[in-house]
Order: sequence, then structure tokens, then C-alpha cells
Amino acid sequence: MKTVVVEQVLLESEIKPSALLDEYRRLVEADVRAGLADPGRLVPAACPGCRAEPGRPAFRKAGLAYIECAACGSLYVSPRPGEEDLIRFYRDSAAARFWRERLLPATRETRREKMVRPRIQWLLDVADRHVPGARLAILDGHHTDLFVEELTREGRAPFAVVLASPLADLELGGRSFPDVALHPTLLGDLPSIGPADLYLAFDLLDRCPDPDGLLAAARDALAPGGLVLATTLLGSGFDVQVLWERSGTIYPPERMNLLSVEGLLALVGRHSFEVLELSTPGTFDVEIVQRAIRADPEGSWPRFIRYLVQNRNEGALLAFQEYLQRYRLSSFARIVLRKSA
Amino acid sequence: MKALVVGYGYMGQIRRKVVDDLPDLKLCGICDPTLNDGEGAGAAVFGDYRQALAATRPDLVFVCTPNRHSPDVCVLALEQGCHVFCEKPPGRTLDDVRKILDAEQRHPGLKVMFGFNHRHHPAVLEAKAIVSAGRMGRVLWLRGVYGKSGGWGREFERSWRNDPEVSGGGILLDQGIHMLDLFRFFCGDFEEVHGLLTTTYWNIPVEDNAFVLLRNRAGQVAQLHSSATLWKHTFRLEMGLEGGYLTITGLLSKTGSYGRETLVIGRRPAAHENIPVGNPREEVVYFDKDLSWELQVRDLIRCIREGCPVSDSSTQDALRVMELIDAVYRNGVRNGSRALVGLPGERKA
Repeated sequence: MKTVVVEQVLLESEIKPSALLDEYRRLVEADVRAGLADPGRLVPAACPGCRAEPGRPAFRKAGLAYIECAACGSLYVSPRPGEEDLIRFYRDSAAARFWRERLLPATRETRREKMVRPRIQWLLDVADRHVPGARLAILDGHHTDLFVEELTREGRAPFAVVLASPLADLELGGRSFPDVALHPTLLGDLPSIGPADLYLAFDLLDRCPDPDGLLAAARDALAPGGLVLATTLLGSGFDVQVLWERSGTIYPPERMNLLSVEGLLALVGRHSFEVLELSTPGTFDVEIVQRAIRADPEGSWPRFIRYLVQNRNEGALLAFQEYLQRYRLSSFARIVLRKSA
Repeated sequence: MKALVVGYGYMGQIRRKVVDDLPDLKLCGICDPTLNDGEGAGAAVFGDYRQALAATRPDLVFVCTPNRHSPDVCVLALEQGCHVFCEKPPGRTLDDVRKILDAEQRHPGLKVMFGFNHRHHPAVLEAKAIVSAGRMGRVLWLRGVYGKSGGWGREFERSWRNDPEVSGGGILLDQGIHMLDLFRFFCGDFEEVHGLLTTTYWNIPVEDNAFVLLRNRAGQVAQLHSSATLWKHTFRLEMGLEGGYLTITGLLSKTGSYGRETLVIGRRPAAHENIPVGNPREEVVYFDKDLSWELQVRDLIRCIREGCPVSDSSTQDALRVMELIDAVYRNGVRNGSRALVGLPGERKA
């Protein structure tokens, strides 16, 4: 297994301007309370990492309960909304429209340059190394349009791509790309698209209602030796651990599964994947904590953390962020899994 | 397949573990004149390799002996119908490798592989995949530093590795050979060879530092510093490519003394990217597991089973890298007393 550290300067505010983000979170909270928190439609869940239950109640957000797993430390929503309710939320809610129509356009070029291009580089490097000659990739998850634009930048994609996300039609807005097919599907139908060489699940594990179902479907959709490339937020990351219920990063339904590193490994282990890479190349942890402490300087914060972010310069904080990456302690993770040949 | 390990020092014990771990192989004996009966941890023990070969009739022989003995063991194993895995260096001299090559050519059905396991280290494999994909352009130059601390003194100076009768050379042949092999792994053959050998610190009759400069017909230049006076164990291979750079530092090893194996990937920003020239975005990849020993032997087993030629760490690879070392030993500057350079095949008498 390998770990990757990424050295680049990127502020969270560059991809999530605070005024827009505040409005987005306000809308999310209202929409979740109104449309997703109906107790009659929620389903109890065990820990998505190690399957242990019951966990300890952690806190509530937007009417939904977060549970901390006593065994692996993962943080998750239970009971939770189901797949079809979530798709409806992401298609039709005011919050989702605000994200598509206001927040994304305002940060589009920064996202392209500092998030999407590095992800494509990652994808191509991993494919070169482990599945040279890959012919088919299934792209799932959210915000697929920029990814497809960049992947086809040279005129065509390096392999055929099927967009499986139920939101892909909205995100592409009627545009078409060479070598890219649209096939929105529910999780259970994913294997019908394969066999694929690559299954790409960016920012999906944390918001997926059934991570076990996701990995089982991915496994069935992959050819032997095929790879899953996934990104997700982790509950064991620095900013989540320090801020906990005060974290602005944690909100349903986008953050329903904040797995710990241990929980993530337990999850993928159940599906017999070989872990080729598990990295936490996040760049926002320290910045997020620093902003939270600045916004509430009299709040109750761990003394050392407060001292660190108030008394050390940018270089020291960047080095600390790099330390978090190096030891898998950042809250943003990427993982590469291989289905046995 | 029955496997015999000849030579049971540091490398022999590593190879024995590989044999024990691979289900395709079954250890039929170990051979080392310093071992007594019962010291083979469950394996039959022999003191003489001829006797061991005759008694065990192995399919595959791991040759882990000091350099002086390696060619004779390899040749006899081949003559007796065994496949061979031989540690590096493949002997003391170029002629030693030629002897092995001759024996191999007399037995074309048998496979021979050499222990250039660095090719299979995870950072090297990752870098190789990036270079082979071609998206960073071609390799322009390579710069390698590989060195160790000899230790505290007499023990290092008395080691067989520093006795030219047994080893054939100093740190360049013992350790630098790996880096030269990696240069070839990334750039192919080098035709122009310049060398400078020095014995700077240790009281030994062979070099404790070697500086080698190579260039090939494609214009790629490689530079090696191989040292027995790097008090911090060091492995560092830098590659400049048209589209960026790759730097491998550290090496996963039993003791961890070379540091965590790491690959830095730096890509030159494209014109349309808003990234300052000269300070590109870097990725640092850390590796946790070294499978190099096992991967290499698995590849040999595959070649044996499928009857395909050995294409990695073959006798030709051993011959070519020994030609580079031979050129340095014959023609390089040694302690300032000689100032000649030359090409393999054009050496001065």
C-alpha cells in the first residue's frame, strides 16, 4: 500500500467562497429538515466501516443523528434516508440547484485547475501502472462534467467512459463528449454496465446511503484486475476531530459516512479488494481549524491547537498539514482498490 | 520445483525466506561451508555445493555465494540441468559473466536470472510506469547516489567484499552495480563511460568511492556516486524528463536504514496553468511494502513454467552492466594515478 502527499497551496475559500458556502449550508439544512428527515422514511444503519452496532450518539445536524462507532471511530448518520430520496434531493432541492447554478460556476476554473486536473493525473498514473490498455471506465459520483471536459481535453478520452451517476444528465446539461456515454443508474444496476477496467467514485463514499452496496456493485461491475479509484472525507481527519459537532464540513446528506481510516480499511476488506493506495492528501484541515478558532476565539478549543494556529506562521502550518497527509491524518482521502485477477 | 540455496549469509537467508513463502518452490537443501548439521532451520545442510547438487538434484539453484564462487556454482548448476538465480554481482569480472553466458547458451532450455531486485522496488516500478507511459516525455538525464557507512572499522576492512581476490572490486561492484543497472533499466545501454575511483578513508585495497559518468547514443547522461563513506545510508535516484522530474529516495530494507521509500513526482506546469515556473506542484508517494525479492523470483518461475525467455535481469543485463564496471575499473581514474576514459570494447590494455 502506498501513501501520497500533495504539495500545493489551495485554500478552501478558493473552491468554497464563504458567503456562498454559508448560504448553501443554510439551504441544505432547511431542505434536509423539510424533505429528508421524515422519521417514517429513515432506515437504521450499522457502522458503515466495521458494521458494529450500536454506536454512541455524537450530535444532531439538520434533524438527523450522527453516531460515533465505538469500535472503529467512524462517524455516521443513523437512521438515514434511502437512495431514491437522496437522488430526489440532489436533483430537485433548492440547495442542490444553488450548488449547480451559483456555487459551482463561481469556482469552476479553480476547481478545474486545482482539483480536477490533479485527479485526472492521478487516474492516468494509476491506470498506466496497473491497468495499461484500460478500455472502459465507469464514472460515478457528483460533479462529473468538469472531469469529463478535462479528460477529453486532448480531443478524446484515453478510454471509453460511461457516466453512471443518476445526476449526470443534469451536470452535463445536454452537452456530449467523444467516447463518453451517459447511463444514469441506481447502485444495484451498476454491474450491468461492466465489465469495466476502472470504477471512479469521486466524493461518493461519504454521501452514499449504502457504502457496502456501493463496493459490492463496483466489484461486480469490474473485470478481474480492475480498479476502484475513490475519494471521500474521513472522520478521523484533523479538522473533523478537532471541530467535531462545530465542523462546518459535517452536514447531511453529503456527509453521512465519515469513516475513520480503520473503518475505511474494514469496509474495503469485507469486499476482498487489495488496497494499492490509501492516502489523505487533503490541504484544508489546518486552514479550516484556524478559521473556526478565529471566528470564535473565546470558544473552548484544545489549548495546543489554539496555540499552534495563533502563534505559528504559514510555513509552519503548511508543514503541519503535510505531516497530516504523510501519516493519513487529513480528513480528505483517496484510495485505489484492485479486484483480484 | 525443488530449490537449493547455495551460500547462507545475509542474501542466502533472504532467498531461503522467499523459497519458503512461495508455494511453487520447495526447499531441498542449503549449502554453506560455515554451517553445521542442524543449523539449517529444518533444511538439509551441505558444506560443498557439488555434493549438494548431486544429493538433492534441484530444479532451481539460488547462488548467494561470495563473488569468487558465483560463476563456478552457476556453471555447474547449469551443466547439471538446473535453472539458476544468481545474486549480483554476477562474478568478479566480465569474463566471469561470459562463462555463465557460455554455459547458459549450451543449455538453452534453462533459465538464468540475476538478483537486480532494485528494479522491482515499489518506487522504481512506479517511476518506470510513468516513464514508459511517455506522458512526461523522454528521460534527459539521471543522477544516482547509493552509499553506505562501512561501519566502525576493522570489521568492514576485513570483509570479503573488500578483498579483491574474493570480490573483484569495491563499493562500485558491490552496491553501485544496482544503480548502474537502474540507469540501464530506464535508458538502455550506455556507450560512453567515464570513471573516477578513490579510496578516501578506509584502509582497503579497493575503492571506497566511485564516480561514474555515462552517456548513450540518444544523448542521455547518467551520473553515479557510489560510496562506502556515506555515514547516513543513502539511496537517491533523480530523473529529469522533458515534462518534469522523478526523484526516488530511501529504500525499503530489513533495517530501514535507507529511510522510507519515496517517489517525488514533479510536473512542469503547462502554459495554461496558473502555477509559477520553477516551483511546480509535487506529489510525494510513500511506500510501505517491498515485494522486490518475491516479485523477481515469481517472474523467474513464470519464465520456467511458460518456457519464455528471461527478459528482466537476464544474463545479457548482467553482461552489459559488468561491461560498464569493467570500463571504469580498466580505464577510469584511480586515486589520481590514471586519467583515461574509454568505451566498452575499446579498452586500453
